[in-house]
Amino acid sequence: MIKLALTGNPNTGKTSLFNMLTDSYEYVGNWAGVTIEKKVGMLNNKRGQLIDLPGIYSLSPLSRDEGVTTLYLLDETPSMLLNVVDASQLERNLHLTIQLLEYGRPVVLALNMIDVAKKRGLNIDVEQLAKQIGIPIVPVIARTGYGCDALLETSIQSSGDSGIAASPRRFDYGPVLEGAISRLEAMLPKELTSARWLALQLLEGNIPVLQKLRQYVDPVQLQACYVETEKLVQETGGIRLADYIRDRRAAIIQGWLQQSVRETKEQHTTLSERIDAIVMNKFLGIPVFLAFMYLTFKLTFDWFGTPLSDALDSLLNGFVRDNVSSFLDSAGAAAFIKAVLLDGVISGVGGVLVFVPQIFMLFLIISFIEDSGYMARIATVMDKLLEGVGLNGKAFIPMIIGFGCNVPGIMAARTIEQPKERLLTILLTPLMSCSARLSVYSLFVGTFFEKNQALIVLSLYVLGVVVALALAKLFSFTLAKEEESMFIVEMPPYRIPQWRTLSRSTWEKGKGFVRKAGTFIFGGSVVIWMLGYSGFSGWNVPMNESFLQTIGSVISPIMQPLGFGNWQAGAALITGFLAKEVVVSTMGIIYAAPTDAGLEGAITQFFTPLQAYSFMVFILLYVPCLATVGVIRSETKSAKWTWFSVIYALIVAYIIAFIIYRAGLLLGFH
Amino acid sequence: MLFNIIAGAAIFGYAGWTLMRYVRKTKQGKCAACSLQSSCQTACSSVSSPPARVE
Ligand SMILES: Nc1nc2c(ncn2[C@@H]2O[C@H](COP(=O)(O)OP(=O)(O)OP(=O)(O)O)[C@@H](O)[C@H]2O)c(=O)[nH]1
Ligand SMILES: [Mg+2]
Repeated sequence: MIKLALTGNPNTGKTSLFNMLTDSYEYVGNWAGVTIEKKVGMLNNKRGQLIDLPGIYSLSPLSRDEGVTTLYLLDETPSMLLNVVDASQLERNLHLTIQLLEYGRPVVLALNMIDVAKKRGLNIDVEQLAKQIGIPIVPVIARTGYGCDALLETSIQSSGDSGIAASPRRFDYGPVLEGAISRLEAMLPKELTSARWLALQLLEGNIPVLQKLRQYVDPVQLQACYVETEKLVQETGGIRLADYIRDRRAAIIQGWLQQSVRETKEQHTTLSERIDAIVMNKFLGIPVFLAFMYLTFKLTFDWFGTPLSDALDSLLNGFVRDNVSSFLDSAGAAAFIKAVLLDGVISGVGGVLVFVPQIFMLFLIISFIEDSGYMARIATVMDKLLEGVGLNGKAFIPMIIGFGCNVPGIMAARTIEQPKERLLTILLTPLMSCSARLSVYSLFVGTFFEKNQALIVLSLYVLGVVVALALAKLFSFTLAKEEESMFIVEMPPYRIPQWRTLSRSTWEKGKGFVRKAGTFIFGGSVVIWMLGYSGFSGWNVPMNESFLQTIGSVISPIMQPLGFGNWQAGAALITGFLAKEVVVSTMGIIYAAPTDAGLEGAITQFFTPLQAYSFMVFILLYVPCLATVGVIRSETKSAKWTWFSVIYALIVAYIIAFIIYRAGLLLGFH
Repeated sequence: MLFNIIAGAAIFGYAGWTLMRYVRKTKQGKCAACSLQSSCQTACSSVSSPPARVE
């Protein structure tokens, strides 16, 4: 089986190309560090496998996701490397190309984003460049699929190459380095074909390579060789070894580009720069972001989402419910079956499903943030604030992803280089209000805050971020930092997202929500309904004497000081640990008594607006859902931190909801 | 009567299955739910602690 591995700098369009060539959909976004795992796909023509890897600047990994790519190259032998290069950033991208050529597998260069390069007035003579570098180059536009067929053909052809194309390329690094390389090569066993590449990588300070070489050579010898070379370079050139290697490569690249690239257009201020002057302004940056969020919730609640979800609600609770009911009657269903379907499944699953329009609207906007290039800007704008609490701007990217769902947010923390900062980000991302929580807010703001829906929801999102920042400050005292981290995030140009990508990305995110409603929420609803249907005195008891009431009553006294001491809230909170939407299902089932004026009418009897707000705050902050706990566990590999994430959240939620409720009462709200 | 038994079994059977599957999957973290689980080696378990710099 042919194995083609996609390698290249971050944000050059590897995953876009992967999606084109394998007809699949993997996560694409316009910032560096979108792909964090290796993905394998079958080529369209079924002739081999394509492997998508996280983007890297060099083969020496700084973060966990970059490590995936280096380890892949170390441990496996792909048939060829498909090096994706951003044509508008050729010079920088080619540094990696050199390292890939030295690796010793056939390399084909996919010259991506030639549309962008053209717009910038870069004229690249592809044939000339290919001759210079000595490998096939295929210009492509991964976004539209232009050139992809030719690329695939060329790649498959060269994967069969043996001989020169498949042997490591030698570039001259000057006498000092060449001496060190030969000495290292001599120490390595003969069967290692890429000994020169390994030696060079070692001299560059590549840790996974060092770890691999320790298997063959005495670590002391390796260290000695490294230190000695470093000293020699320092003495002769006055620069660090890694910088020296970089300079040598830069010179090679200069040579290549001189003959093949011309700039035909004078650069003047681009639209990107003009937008950035506002969006990244020192004073306006954060207000612009808040305004953007406000607009999001306006769209989600006032303009689009709520009207749609009202329509869905009346469809579900009118047409669907009536028809299911009359069908069951005609089939001669027992009262028990009728009750589980109508009061359990339709109330529970339907209660969640009606919020699908809002959730898709939110996902659409998150996808827009991801694909437009705004993501990296938000990270930069937040950098100052985050630095003050011991993190840096990069940590905000997982948090924004967490607005959609905390699980991928926590996984995205793999791009953070510093282990301590990464841990902190993992622990705090669950405080970001996710889409599941949005369904709870939808229910309550629609009932209690008809006029200010967007503002109330915005306040909850902001509260989540503020609490996360405050806790980061607190935790960073105890989690003493080892070294200062640097904030380096690449600023991609703005791109107008393609409608296709946007809809696909929205659907991929929303799909999970709908699927969950059909599977897990279904199961949960049946169980919750059972608990509400049965009690100590038998079956079909009034809700007030059910097991559900018993369970809810256990914690309701504890919640009394926060304003929602009714057993219904207690039961919803307990079940909500499984998944936050279940809070809505539980309430739908509890309040499904036929006499009531719908779910919204029913809650007004049990909550005042202030109590409802306090309840939402508590839902926002209290324990991460089960799936999030699972991913915290697998990402931190530590039971201690997993427990910590649950317990601190409970404590913080209690304190903050208490303060808000009590302060609200003092201020005269009710 | 037969309808009731079949409907009841279907509803509760399906509900039980979804819950079991959900708890099993979430307990193992994300990878358990991934379609590439069998062919993917680097995703979850085998990438060890993040590498540090040589100085
Ligand atoms: N204009 C233009 N945009 C492109 C092209 N190819 C990809 N893009 C855009 O570039 C951005 C990055 O694409 P990805 O495919 O996520 O890049 P990646 O290399 O996988 O990035 P990482 O996973 O972070 O390493 C997306 O916004 C794409 O829509 C292209 O040929 N032309
Ligand atoms: Mg990618």
